[in-house]
Amino acid sequence: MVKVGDKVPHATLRGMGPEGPKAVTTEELFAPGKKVVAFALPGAFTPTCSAKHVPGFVTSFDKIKAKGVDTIACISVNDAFVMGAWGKDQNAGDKVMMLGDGGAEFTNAMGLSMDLTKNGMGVRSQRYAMVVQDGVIKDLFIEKPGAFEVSSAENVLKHL
Amino acid sequence: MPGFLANIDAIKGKGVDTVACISVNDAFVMGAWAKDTKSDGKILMLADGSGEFSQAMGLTMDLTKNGLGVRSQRYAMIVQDGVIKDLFVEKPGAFEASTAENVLKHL
Repeated sequence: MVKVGDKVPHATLRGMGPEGPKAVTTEELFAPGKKVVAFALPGAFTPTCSAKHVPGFVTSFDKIKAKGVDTIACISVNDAFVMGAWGKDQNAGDKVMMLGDGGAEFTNAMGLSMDLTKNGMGVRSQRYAMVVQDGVIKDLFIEKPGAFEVSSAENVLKHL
Repeated sequence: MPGFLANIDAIKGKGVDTVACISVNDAFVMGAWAKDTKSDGKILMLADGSGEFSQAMGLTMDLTKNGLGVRSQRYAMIVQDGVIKDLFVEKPGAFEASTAENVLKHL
């Protein structure tokens, strides 16, 4: 598992562009000179993620940006089509980049996957948030299974 | 999906009890998609989130390099009393044999 002080590992994520899925590498997302807040969750359209986690970051967008954050990104083991539809549903607009990690490449590289195969969801991401500066993890807030506390927009804001 | 929705009455008219759509997505995504396509009550939207069914059918394809993980191939089948009577597996990228129109011809 990655820890504070580590560089974000290499992986390719995919967002939904006007002409279909668009690849975004972690090197582009977490580029030198950029301060990024990224949060990850178990699945698009799932209850906690839809009702609390994403809306919290959409609502806190201005406050987070005011702390010098360049990009807010939401990452889930779903494909770009699902993330695009979910972004519309959540009114994420240009505020939160909705990025799919459909093959779990990023999540596995982070060492933050969990196996929900028995629940019919395959391998998914644990719920967490992180603050990344110049590609290096400055803060990492990993939730205990089922919890939703440390990775909230409110808690991340306190650490910016 | 729109093809099966448009032809639902014709298909049911052939004595079909259930039309089901299966995909390697979870139930939350399939539910949201059902709303989006207005298929509620017409097509049973079923999730095979871990690929258990698709693997048991031997009809997966690996789209990991495209950021989609392991998914189902595109196909349609007619099942009577639990036995596969017709199976229409598409060639990669094609959409012909598994259409509602083609399935209708075989009912």
